[in-house]
Parts: sequence; structure tokens; C-alpha cells
Amino acid sequence: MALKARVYIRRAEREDLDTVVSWREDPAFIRFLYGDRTRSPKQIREQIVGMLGRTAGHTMPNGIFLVVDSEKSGPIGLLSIVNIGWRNRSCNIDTYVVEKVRNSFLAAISFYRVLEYCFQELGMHRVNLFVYAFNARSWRVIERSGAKRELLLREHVARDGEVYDMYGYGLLRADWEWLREDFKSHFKGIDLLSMVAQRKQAAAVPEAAP
Amino acid sequence: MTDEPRFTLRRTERLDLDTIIEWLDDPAFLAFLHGDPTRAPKQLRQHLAAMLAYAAAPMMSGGGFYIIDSDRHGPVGLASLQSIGWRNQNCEFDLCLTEPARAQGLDTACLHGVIGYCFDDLNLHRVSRPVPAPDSEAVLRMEGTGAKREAVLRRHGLRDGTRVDMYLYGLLRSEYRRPAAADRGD
Amino acid sequence: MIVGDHAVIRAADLDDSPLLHRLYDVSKPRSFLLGPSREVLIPTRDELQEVLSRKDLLSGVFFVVEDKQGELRGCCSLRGVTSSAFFSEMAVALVDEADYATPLADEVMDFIRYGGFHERKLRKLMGHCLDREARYREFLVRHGFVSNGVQREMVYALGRYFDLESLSLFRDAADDALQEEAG
Repeated sequence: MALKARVYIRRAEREDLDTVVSWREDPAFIRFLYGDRTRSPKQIREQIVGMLGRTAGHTMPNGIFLVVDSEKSGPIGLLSIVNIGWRNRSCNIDTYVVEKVRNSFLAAISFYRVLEYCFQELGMHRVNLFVYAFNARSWRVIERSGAKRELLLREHVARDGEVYDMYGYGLLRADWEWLREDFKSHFKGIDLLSMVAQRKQAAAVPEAAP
Repeated sequence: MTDEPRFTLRRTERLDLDTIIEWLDDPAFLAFLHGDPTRAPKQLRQHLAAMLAYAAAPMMSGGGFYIIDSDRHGPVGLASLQSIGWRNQNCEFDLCLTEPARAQGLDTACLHGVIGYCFDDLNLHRVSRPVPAPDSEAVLRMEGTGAKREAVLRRHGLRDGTRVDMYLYGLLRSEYRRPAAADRGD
Repeated sequence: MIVGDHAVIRAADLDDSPLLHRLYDVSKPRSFLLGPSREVLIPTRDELQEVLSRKDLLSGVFFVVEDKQGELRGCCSLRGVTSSAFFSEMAVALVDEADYATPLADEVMDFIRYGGFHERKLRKLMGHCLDREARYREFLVRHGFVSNGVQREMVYALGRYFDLESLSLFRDAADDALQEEAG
């Protein structure tokens, strides 16, 4: 049976500004922004403004930002595809989802969809993922995707007076093909095409009473 | 390794301006650059300077003009890569060689230089090129690379005041017949 | 200008552009040529001249390496040093790759280490090498760099993908190595 995840990814827009700015109280979001803690709220806001809608009309962006939208709760996360190398066909992915759904299946589905977007829509050959070593929740999801831990960057990032290790993961197109095949048999209905169909359906039919 | 001269593309720069202006004495070049014979030399120079500035834009642009350069012969012509689609990994190209380069029979080697640059440096998946139907040598050269004639664009080009058909050739990376000596790098 | 027994290291100058341009050789891809997205970037001579004229950008970051006869042998850099960072990416690009095994290269590394660890007080230096840069890798390892791992099929050049290895040298390890060398 096809899953109905009721969560979608879409291009980030200026209209998302207030929601995304409200996430800056979450330390996980500040890490997502790779922020320097000395930055002022105004500077953080400027960075967010730069991320939202910056790719509109751009034929060859080196960064794409996608909002994770929940049918019930509205925007619940942000996915960034940055450092796009069009000749290397590679990019870096970062994900952020709000705390209340971080443990849920929705985060994993969003991650799967952004991978599909990178490989199937952008034609990437390789996706890079960097994650704090202490963030086991994130790197376990990454490892389940078939990404290989390629780098251990010791004492690489300083946050709040502490120095942390980072892991660098790489997912090649061949790894992705394997994942897609494996995923297809278990989780029908979460691919991008199904997502688009589900969203259309949701828009067309008013939500039924519980 | 090979003793054959190696042709590759490089982005145009200000230092190339005088060289390209010299090439404009050749009507084939003037036509390639869409030059108008009534243009004053100063206007042409300004046009070229603007064109070179565009071509020297960051490498990930949508296309532009490139110098076809050889380790043995130096600059031998211009290539234009247009409509580079980075997501689709394709582009349309054309090239024009100097009269001495044509006389030395460098056409085929330069054609491979341009195609090799598209596939091996830009990592494109497909290239296409319109070729005037009456130019039977150019048609043969394109077919020699493995390119397929995918469309006939009727009366699409203007050559010496006459409307001519153009053949649109498409070449996929997997179909590219590389020359035996296409050994780049070490 | 730093004058060693084998190498002369000085700030890069506008006049160096023709010789430096030799290092930007598309037929010899090397990690030194990689831009922010790890793509091979070959600047035109115009662009190189423009960069070399920006003293504000290059000061303390980009240096040329000459031998004692005044011939340019390569360049070195400490990239990405910011006030909040405590590590920097370093690169040593020598025209002749055989030079990585010479005392000239060792003096360049001494200069990089001193600049990174003692002048800038960095915790670590990071270097990268493509899988075709065996001599450069040997040079880094000989100076105490330790591999962080290899990013598979990371860089496209010459019609194929190259792996990119990342290596680090921590200040403590570098100091230990220097003490060992001193005997």
C-alpha cells in the first residue's frame, strides 16, 4: 500500500521568512546555518532572506533551498542544497526539521525526497553530507541511505566553547540507485511524483472531518 | 602519450583581442561572429571587447566564445558554446578556424578538441551543432565523430545571400568516436 | 621575504602572473586548482592579474616560492583563515612535482607551519590531494599530516572522476614532530 506522508518539499519563498526566522531560537537551526555565535539577529535574518527565493529565475544556481511543508502544521523544516558543482555534478545537503518532528518518520521522508531531487531532478553524480559526530540521530538516518562515511574531521567545529568532530558522508549515484530500488519495495508512495499527486489531491479535496 | 598536437579550449581574455581582430580579415570569421562588413573597425573592436568580457565571465556561465588553443600551433580559431544547460548537461556549439589552420588540415583535430572539452572538462552529456547542408566536408567531419543528423532546418541559414538548409547534428557522450590519439593530460 | 637555504618565499606580485599561470594547467588537475565547490577552476591571465593586484586579498595568504637563483618554482597558500576559524586550508603547488621531495619543499612546509601554528595560532592545518597527486601526498604525510579519509569520485577532470583525500596536521603533532627532528 502506498504511504501518504502528508509532508511535501517545495522551493523556499519570501513568504516563509517569518516562520524560518522564528526557528533561530533552536540551536539545531543555528548549526544548520553554520552560524558564528557573535552574529547579531539582524545578520542572521539577512542570511535567511538571502536563502529564501534567491533561486527564482536563476538558470544555474549554486544553492537551492527547499521548505518541508506539513499538510497539518505548515512549514516544519528547511533543506539546503549548496556548493553545487555543475561540472563535478556534486552538491552538499543540509537538513533541518523542527524539534517536534525530528524523531518522526517525516524527517526521513524529507531526506529521501531531497536525495531524489538531487539525483533525479538536478542530475547529480554525488551528494556530500557533513554532520556533527555527536548528532547520532542525523548520521544514522544518513547511513541508512547507503551513504558512506568518508571523512572523520577531528576537532573541526567550535560551538559555544566546545570543539566537535564532524563526519563527512558521500552518496554516489550508484548508492542512490541501490537505495531507490530498495526503498521502492518497502515505501511506495513517498517518491517525488507520488508527492506531487498527493499534494494535488489534498488541494482539490477539502480535508474530511476526523 | 602522443606526438599529435593537442587542441583544447580556453576562455577568451583581453590579450586575445588583437589576435581576433586580425582574424576578422577572413570573411569566414566575420560571418561566424555575425559581423557586418559595413561596421567601422572601431565599432567592431568595441563589439569584440564586450563579447570577450562576456566570455571571460565565470566559468559556469550559459556559454560564450572560447579560443581554440594548441600546445604546438597556439590560437587557431574560435569556438562558441551556446545555451549550456547545466541541469540537462547539453549545449550547442560551433567553431571557426583561421585560414592557415584550415590550410594545414586541422579542422578534424579542432572539432575533436571542442567536443572533448564539452565532454571531458564540462562533463556534458550531449552536444549539438548546426552544419550548413552544402558544406559537405563539415557534414562528413561531424558524422565521423559519431554524431547523428537529427533534424533538417529548412532554409535556416544565410550563406552569401542564399538561404540554405542546415543539418542539426546531435552527439551523445556514449556515442562519441574519440580519435585514437585523444590522450589528454598525463 | 623569507630567505632560506634553498627557497625564497615572498608575497605574490603582479609581475608573477605569467609564471604563475603555468601552474593553472588543465591537463594536470591538482587539488590546488579546486574552487569552493571543489571544481577545477582555471583563471584567465586577466583574472590572475586582477587577483594579484589585490594586495588586501592576498596579504598573508598567497606566496610565491623561488629557488636561490630567483627562478619561480611554485606557490603556497593558507586559505580560509577567518577570525572565528581555528584551522586553515593550506596548499603547496610546485611546478615540478619532483620538487616535493626536495629540501626546498621542506622549507616551504616549515614556513606554512610557522605561519599557521605560531603566527595565526591555528589548531590545525588541512590539505587536500587528488588520487593522482602521489608525490604531493607523500610530502604531506612526511610532514606529519594524517588522512581524514577519501571522498570518492569527487572531482571531474580529463573526462573522469578523481577521488579527493583530506589530510590534517594538528599543532601538537607538528610540535612533537619538530622536537623529534631536533633530536
